Amino acid sequence: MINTKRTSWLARFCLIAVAACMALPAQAALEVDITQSSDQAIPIAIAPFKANGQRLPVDISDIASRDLASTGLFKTFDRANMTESPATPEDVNYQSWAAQGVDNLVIGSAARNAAGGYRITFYLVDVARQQAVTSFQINAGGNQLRDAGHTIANLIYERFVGKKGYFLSNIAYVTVTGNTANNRTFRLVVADYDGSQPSTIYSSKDPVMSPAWSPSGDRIAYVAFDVYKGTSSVRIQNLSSGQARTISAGHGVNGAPTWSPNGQEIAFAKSADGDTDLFVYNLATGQSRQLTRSGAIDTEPSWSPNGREIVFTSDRGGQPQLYRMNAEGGGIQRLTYDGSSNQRADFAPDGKSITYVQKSGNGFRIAVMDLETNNVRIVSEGRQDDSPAFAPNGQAVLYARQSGRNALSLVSLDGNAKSTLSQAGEVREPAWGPLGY
Amino acid sequence: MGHISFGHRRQVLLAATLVAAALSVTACGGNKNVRGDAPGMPQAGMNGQGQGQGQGMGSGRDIDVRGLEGIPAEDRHLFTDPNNPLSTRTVYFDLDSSAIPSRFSQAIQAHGQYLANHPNVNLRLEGNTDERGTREYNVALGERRADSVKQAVVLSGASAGQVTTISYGEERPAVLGQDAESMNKNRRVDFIYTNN
Repeated sequence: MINTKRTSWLARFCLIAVAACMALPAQAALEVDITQSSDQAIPIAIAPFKANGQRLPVDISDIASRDLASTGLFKTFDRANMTESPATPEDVNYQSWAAQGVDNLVIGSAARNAAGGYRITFYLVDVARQQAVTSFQINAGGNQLRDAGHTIANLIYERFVGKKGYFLSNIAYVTVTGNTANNRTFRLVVADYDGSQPSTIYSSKDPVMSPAWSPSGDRIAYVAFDVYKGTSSVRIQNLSSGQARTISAGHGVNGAPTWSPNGQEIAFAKSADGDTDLFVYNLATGQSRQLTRSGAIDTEPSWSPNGREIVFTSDRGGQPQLYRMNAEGGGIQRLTYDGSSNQRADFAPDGKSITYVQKSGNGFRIAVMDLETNNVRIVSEGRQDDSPAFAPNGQAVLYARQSGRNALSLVSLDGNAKSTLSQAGEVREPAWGPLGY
Repeated sequence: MGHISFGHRRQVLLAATLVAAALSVTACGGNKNVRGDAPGMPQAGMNGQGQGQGQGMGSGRDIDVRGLEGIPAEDRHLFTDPNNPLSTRTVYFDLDSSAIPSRFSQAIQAHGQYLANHPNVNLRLEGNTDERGTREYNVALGERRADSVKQAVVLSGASAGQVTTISYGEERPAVLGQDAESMNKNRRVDFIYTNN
């Protein structure tokens, strides 16, 4: 009954050199606060995993537990109340767990493997039925235990939620420090989905904005300004090599990059004579073609996951609203009518809905629209919410909260579960990368 | 090797960070030429510290010497004399608007005529917005404002080739603050006479 998932995890957990991370300049990690859990949160206990009775150098069950709790969809059992950490279902004292109200229990252990890493075996146990429901085995390098913890959470999440977990994914965001308008530092940061292990990939005294992940997660497109020259540029930075390539630059607007789902093209905004229109840049040919010519502002494109459509912001009707068109720039239709303006859409990974910023009497709030029914749900409180990004599994939206205490906020799709990621200074423009496995 | 190996990526992020650090040092050095604290140059209205000191809109920047690098030294006094319309080097806008308020027409005319008389001088118009709304839309709105001023300056005699535009949207507020007065000061186009 052991499902050996060895091959895929071996591919993921190849050679690693985490030591390089230690040399990175100090960068505060985001702090996670769970502010609201779902009423239907799934109760689960994850007991500590041991290797030959010893603690592992990284507390992988704690990592998995925090991952699940961060979604607001799970209610994790406090470790302080655990009386045992059994390695196999045969060792479990079922009466004791049942007495504490634990229905779902995860237990496991690790053993050194031949490659110098660990083989981790864990079981999801149904306490009432007194048996294991499923079990998994993961091979991780000695310094990949953190990812192993996230993998455990992904497997449990998928088992209960029916969707892949996003605990191995990465986010990018922009931080701004400095107290005066003319003395600020902008940093483009890449971190784990929960803000841990942050790395600055670009920094400047001049504005940096609009990060966008390539579909495979290997590159980030963003906008950088050069205030001395009075220019803006859309850049693509390779996360492996650190090399950046400029695809559009100059005076006026060069901004709002979004990737085609095949990773071969970038839609972006560029201005001429004060008028901002949408263009598509082909990465292979280096050529751009113009998509819109409206005489109004057309910007903030988001490419549908099937590649056929682009949703964008336009004020051709007066106030900024969302429009959809085919990827060749034809068949333009207005999408939004609620509220006084609707801007900056991001497609859900399944292409069935979009999230965007809606302005109404309550300020700027995050909305989610079902594209089949046109039903709209507001999932944030406002008053200055911006930059919504779907989780790569489509089950949550991450956005920037800019009024009151600045933070990144995560809200589940039903609006029931909420958490925040914050740090000293301003955090803005979250972009969520692919699942990572 | 799995192409999505995190370990590999982290390692190279270090390289990326070092490159970025080098870039930012360069950018910073470049900025100093324009924005720095050149000795003896007054800075009123430059850094947002004028907030709450009773500077009215349109006058807070009258003795601002930032952005005069491209003006011949013998002419700079024209741009710092509060009685000269050239001393107005910021145009403020209403919410969601790129229409130039009529109170700035005299100043715009003066800049257009100065440029017409000095064909070697170049002007950069920097558009900005307040923080309401989405960031990229605001970049486009700031560009529309900058172009609106450019059209007016060209109508007043400047050649289109003398004037460039850039928009920072809400990314470079003149004043940090979420109150109405701060936001009024941030919806603006700044006149920068460049030497590059």
